[in-house]
Amino acid sequence: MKRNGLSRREFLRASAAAAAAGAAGSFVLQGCARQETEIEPYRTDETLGGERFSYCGVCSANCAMIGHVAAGRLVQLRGNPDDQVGRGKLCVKGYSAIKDLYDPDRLKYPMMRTEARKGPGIDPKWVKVSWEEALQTTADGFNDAIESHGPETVAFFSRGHDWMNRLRDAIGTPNHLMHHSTCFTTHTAVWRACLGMGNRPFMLDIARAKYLLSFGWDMPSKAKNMSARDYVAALSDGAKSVVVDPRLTVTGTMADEWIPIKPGTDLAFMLAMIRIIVNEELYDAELVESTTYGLDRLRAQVQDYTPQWASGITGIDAAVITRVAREFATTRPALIPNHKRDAGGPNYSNSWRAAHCMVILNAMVGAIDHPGGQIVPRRPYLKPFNAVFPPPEFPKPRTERIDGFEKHPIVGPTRRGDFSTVTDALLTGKPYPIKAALFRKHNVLAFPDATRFVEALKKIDFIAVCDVWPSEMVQMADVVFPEPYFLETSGFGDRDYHEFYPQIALRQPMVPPLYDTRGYGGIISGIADAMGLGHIFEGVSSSTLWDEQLKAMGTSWQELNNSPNGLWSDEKPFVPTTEFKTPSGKIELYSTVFEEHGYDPLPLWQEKRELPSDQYPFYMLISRPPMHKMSQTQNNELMAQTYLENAVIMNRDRARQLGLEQGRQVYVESRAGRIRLKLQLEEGIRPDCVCIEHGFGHWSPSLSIAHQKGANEGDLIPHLSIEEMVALKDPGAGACMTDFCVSVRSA
Amino acid sequence: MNQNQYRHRFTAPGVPQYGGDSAHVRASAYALLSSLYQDQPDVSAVDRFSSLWRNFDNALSGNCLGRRTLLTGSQFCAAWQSSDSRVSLQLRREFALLFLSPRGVQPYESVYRGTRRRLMDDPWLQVREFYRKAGMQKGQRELHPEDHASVELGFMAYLAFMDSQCSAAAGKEEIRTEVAGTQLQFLEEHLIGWIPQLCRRIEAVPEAPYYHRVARFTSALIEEDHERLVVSAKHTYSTCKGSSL
Amino acid sequence: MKQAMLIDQTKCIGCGACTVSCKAIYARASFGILRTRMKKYETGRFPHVSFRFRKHMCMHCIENAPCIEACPVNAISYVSGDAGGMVIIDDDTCIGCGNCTRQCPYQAPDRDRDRKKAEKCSFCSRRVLAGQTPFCAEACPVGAITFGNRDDVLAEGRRRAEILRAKGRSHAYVWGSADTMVLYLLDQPPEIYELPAEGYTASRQTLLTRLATPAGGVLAAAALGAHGLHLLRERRRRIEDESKLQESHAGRADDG
Repeated sequence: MKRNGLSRREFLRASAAAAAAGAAGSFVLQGCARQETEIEPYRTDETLGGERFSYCGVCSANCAMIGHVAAGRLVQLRGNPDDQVGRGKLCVKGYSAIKDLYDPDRLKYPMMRTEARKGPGIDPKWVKVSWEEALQTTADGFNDAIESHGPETVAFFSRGHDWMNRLRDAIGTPNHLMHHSTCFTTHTAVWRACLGMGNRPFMLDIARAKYLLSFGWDMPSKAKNMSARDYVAALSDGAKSVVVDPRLTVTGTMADEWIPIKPGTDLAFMLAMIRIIVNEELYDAELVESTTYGLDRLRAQVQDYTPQWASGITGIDAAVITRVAREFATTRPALIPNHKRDAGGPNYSNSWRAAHCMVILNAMVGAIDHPGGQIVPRRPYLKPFNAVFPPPEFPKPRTERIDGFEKHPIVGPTRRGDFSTVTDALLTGKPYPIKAALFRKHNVLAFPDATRFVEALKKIDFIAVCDVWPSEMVQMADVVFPEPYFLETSGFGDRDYHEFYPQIALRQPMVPPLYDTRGYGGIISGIADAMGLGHIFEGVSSSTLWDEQLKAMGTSWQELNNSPNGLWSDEKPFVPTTEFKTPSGKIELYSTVFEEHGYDPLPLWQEKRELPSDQYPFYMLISRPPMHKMSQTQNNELMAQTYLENAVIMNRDRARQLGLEQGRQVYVESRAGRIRLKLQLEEGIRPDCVCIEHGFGHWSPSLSIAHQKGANEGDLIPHLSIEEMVALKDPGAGACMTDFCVSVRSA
Repeated sequence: MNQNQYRHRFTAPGVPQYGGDSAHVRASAYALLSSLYQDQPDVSAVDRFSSLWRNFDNALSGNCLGRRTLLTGSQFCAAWQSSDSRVSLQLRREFALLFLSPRGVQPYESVYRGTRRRLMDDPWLQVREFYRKAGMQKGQRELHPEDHASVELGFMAYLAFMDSQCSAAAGKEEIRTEVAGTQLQFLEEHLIGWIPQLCRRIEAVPEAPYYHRVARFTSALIEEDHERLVVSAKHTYSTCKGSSL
Repeated sequence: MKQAMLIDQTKCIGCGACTVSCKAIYARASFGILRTRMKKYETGRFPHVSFRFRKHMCMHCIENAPCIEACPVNAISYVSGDAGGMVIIDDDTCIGCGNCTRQCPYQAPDRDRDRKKAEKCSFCSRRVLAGQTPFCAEACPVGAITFGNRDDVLAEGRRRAEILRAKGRSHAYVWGSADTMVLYLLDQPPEIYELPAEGYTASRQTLLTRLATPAGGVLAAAALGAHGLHLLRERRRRIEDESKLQESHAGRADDG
C-alpha cells in the first residue's frame, strides 16, 4: 500500500528535509515551558528481548521466576526450575503478576490531596506534584509533629525495612507497626519461647511426611506453591492426611479424613492427644530424652485431659481422638503442619496454647527440624544493614508505644506492633496522639474493625502513603508516593519459606519502569534529606549493601548477575538441629521462658473468648481464596476473572431452617459492625459456623475492577483496648481474628 | 524565504509572534493538546496558545482547520484563559482525576483497542512500529508509553510541523504529499480509532469541566483533520494518477 | 504421534493457575470469558461430604466433533498435523452464533457476546505442533496435568487409578479414553463432575443425525435417558446464568 504510506527511506528523506529546515536530532514539542513530548530518531535497542530472572513479590514465599520479554514487553512469567521454593512453577497469583505490571490503575506520580476532609466517598481531589514537593511536604509534616508534639507522635506502619528502621530510630519514635498480630504472632511467641528461634516458624517438609495432622492448616487451598505441591506429592506417595477444621477445605477434601471440630477447641483435642501419647509412651523416647526438656512436668499436667473430656468440648468422638493420637505417634515421619491463621495462629484467645501443643506434639514424634517435619530454614548469612553502614548514635525513645506492644516481653523486641489495639490509641489520643504517619502497603482493610480504623486515621494530621495501587489507604493520604512494581526492580532474596540449603535468587528488572516511581529506600532517604537528617544515609546505597551482603556469603553482585540460572546456591547436606537457643539448650516442652515472664509454662485448657449466644448464634471463620493475596490483588483482572467477590458461606441445612436460600443478600453482624453479602450454601461447613473469604469490599473508586466488589469481614472483627489485650495474657498478643460470633439475617 | 526563517518557525512553535498561517496553528494545536494529556496544565502555555489562536486570521483557516475545530478551539481558549491560581488548582485536580487516579479514563490506545484494560498490548507494538518506520521513536526521557495520547498527539504534531515546513518551502510538493499521506495513515490507523472514544469518556466525568473543552477540541481537530486529509488524498490521487504505485 | 492430556482431578487443588496462565496469553476474549476454568462439585451431606474440582475446557473430540458439524460458517476445524484431534475456531470466520456451545456435549466453547465470537481451548495447537507443552500443563503447580504421547499418558493414568483403587478409592478411573484428547483421572462417578458417561460422545453423534426427524427426538431422549437429558438441561441453564453474571461483571469492569 503506497497510497498513504511512506517507505522508511522516503520518510527519512522527508524528515531530513524538515530537519534541514530546523534543528537536527531530537524533535521537542515545546508546547509549554515545563513539559515536552519528545520524539527522537530511532535507534536499534538490544534490550527489548530475552529472558530475565526475578523472584515473585506477590507473597513472601518469593518463588524464583523467569520472565520472557519480547519487543520490549513482558509476555510470560514462569517458574525457575532450580529454585527450592517453586521448583519451576509459580502459583495462580504469580502467573497473574504480569497483569499488575500493566494495570492502568497503578499509581504513576507523586500526588497530594487538595481536599481537607477524608474518608470513603470523599474525593481527595489529587494534584500531581514533583518528587521534591512531595518529599518536602512529608518532611515538614514529620518535623512539625516532632517540634510541636515530640518524636513519638510520628508513627510508621510498614514491614521492617533497613532504611525505614534507621529513619525511625533517627526520629526516635517507638511507634512502628506491622501486621503480624493478625497473622502468625502466636506461633512466633511459642517458637521464641520453646525453641529460641523462629521469626517465621513455618517451613515444612511435607513431601517426606507419612502422616499429616492439620489443625486448620490449609496452605494447599491458599495455593502456596511449595505446600500445595508437597501436599499432593505426599498423598501420592501414600501419606495419610487427617484434617481437623470446622470447614471442609481443599486440604480437607483431599485428606483421608475430615474432622469438623467446634471452632477454637483444637487445644482440647491436642491436650488429649498429648495425654495419650505420654501415658502410652508412644513418643520417640530417644529424641525426647536428648532434645527436649520438661516431659515429666508435662505428664503430670495433662492427666485431667482425657479423650472423654476433650470429646465433650470438641464435639469429636473420644475414640476418634484416641485413634488419631495413636496413629500420629506411631506413623513416622508424622507432622502437624502450621502456617498462619490456623488453629495456632492469632485467631482465638487460646491459640497460643494450641501453638504450644503443636510444638510439643511435633517434638514428641521427632518432627522438629527433621526430614518430614517442621524445618528451620537454612538461610545464608545476611550481613546486617547496620554492620555494612554503621549507624550514628540515636536517642532512645522517651515514651512507651501507643499500642502497648512492649507489654508482651517475648514478642515485644520484634517491634511488630499491634493492629488491634492501635485503633483505640489513635481515636482517644491516649497515651498520646499520633500527629504524622507513614504507611506502606498496609491497607485499611487489613485492620480489625476496619471502619473504625478509618475513623481513627482522621485523627492523624498528616499521612504519607507509599504504594503501588490506589488502595483505600491511599485515599486517606495527604501525600502519595508511587513505588515500582516488583517486576521493575532489582535485588536478591533468599528462600526462607523453603530453604534446605542457603540459596539466593536474583531480581532483575523485567522492563524499564513504566511510571515516575521510586523504591521505598529512595523515598525514605529523600524524606530524611528533606527533614535535615541526610547524614544518616551518608554513603548508603543498595548496590553497596547488596555487594557487601553477597560477598559475606561467598559470592558477589556481579557473579549473581552472571549466573546462568539466576540463582546462587550453597548446597550443604541437611543436618538436624540438636542445640536450641533456650535456657536449657533443648526444646522446652515446659517453657522456662514462659514461666519467667509469668505465662503458663505448659499448655492448660482455656475456653476461647466468645461463644455463640442468642444474639450472635454463629461462630465466625475467615479464609482466603487461592487466587488472591490478602486485600492486595482484587484489582488484578486475571485474578478477578477467577474470583471477583466474596460471599457468606453457610451450611445448607442450617440455611434452610432459617429460610435463607442460595444467593440471597444477607446482613452479617457482630458486636463490632455489620456487612452485607450474598449467601453461598455448602455442605462442607458446620451448621454453627459461617465463613467469609478475606480481601474484598474495596471502597477506593480508583480500583476500577475491585471497587465495591463484596464486603470486608474486617468490619466485623472487634478491636481490643490495651487493657483487654494484656488481660488475655497471650504472649503473642494475637488479635483474636475470629474469636467472636455473628448473626446472619436476610437483607 | 531563507533558512533562518525555517529554523525560526521550527524551533519555537506555539509562541505567538511566529504564528500566522493556519498550518502552523494546526501543528501548534496538536502540540498543545499533546502537552495537556502529558502533564498537568501549565496555564501560561495555554495563554500563549490562546493569543496565537486569537491573532491568526480565521479567514485563512479554510486551508486546514474545520468549522467545528475553530468553534471548539475558541471555546477552549475562552474557558481556559486565566492564570488565576484557583482555576489553576482546578485544572491540576482535573488532570489528576482523569489521568492519574483513573475512573475509566485511561489515555492509552492499548486500553481502548487492545485486549481489555491492559497496557503494552498490540496497539502499542503497532504504534511503535509506525514511529520506527517513520525513522523516529519517543524520547529517552519520555515516561509515557508510545501509545499514550500525549505521545501519539505529539507525533501528529511532529508530522504537522513537517507539513507546515513543506508548505512554507518551495519545491517540496512531493514530500508534502508524502507527509500528508503519513498523517492520514497515522490518523486512520491510530488516532481516529480511539481518541474520540477517550474524549467521550472525559466528557462523561462530571468533575472535569475544563477538560471537557479539551476533549471537544481534540475530537473536533482529529475528526475534521481526518475528513480534510481524505478529501485531499483523493484529490492528489486523481491528479497524480499513474505517476506512482 | 497421537497426543493427549491427562488431568488428574485427584491432585487438582482448584487454584486456577491454569486459567490465568491461559488467559494471560490468549487474552483477546472479554472479561470472564475463559478457555479453561475450574468448577467445584460437592457431594454428600454434612459431615460425610467431599468436593472435587474439574478443569472445564474443550475435550478435543478425536472424531466427528459436534461443534464442527454445528458451525454454520465452517469456522471450526481440525488442525492438520498428526497430534490427533485438536479442534480450533478461526476467530476471523466465527460469527458468535452460539451453535457450537449448544451442540457441544461439554458446553466447552464460551460465547463472548461482546466480541460476538466463540472462545475455546485450542490445545495450544501451535505449541503442540512445535513440540511444546500446552501452557496450562506447563503452569500447573501440583503437576496434575500430564501431556504427551497418548499411549503413555493413558498408561500413566491407569496406573495412577489402580494405586488409588488400592488405597480405597474404589471409583478411580480414567475418563474419556475412547473419544477425546483430554482425559480425566477421576475418583467419583462422571455425573458428579457434570460429565457424560464413557463413550458418550460417539453415541451422541449418531443421535444428532437422528434428531433431524421428529421420531429421532424420542429416540434420543430414550437413549440418553431422562436423567441424562435433565443433567444436560441443568448444565445449560447454569451456563446461561453464569454467562449473564459474567456479562454484568464485564459491563462493570468497562464502566469502572
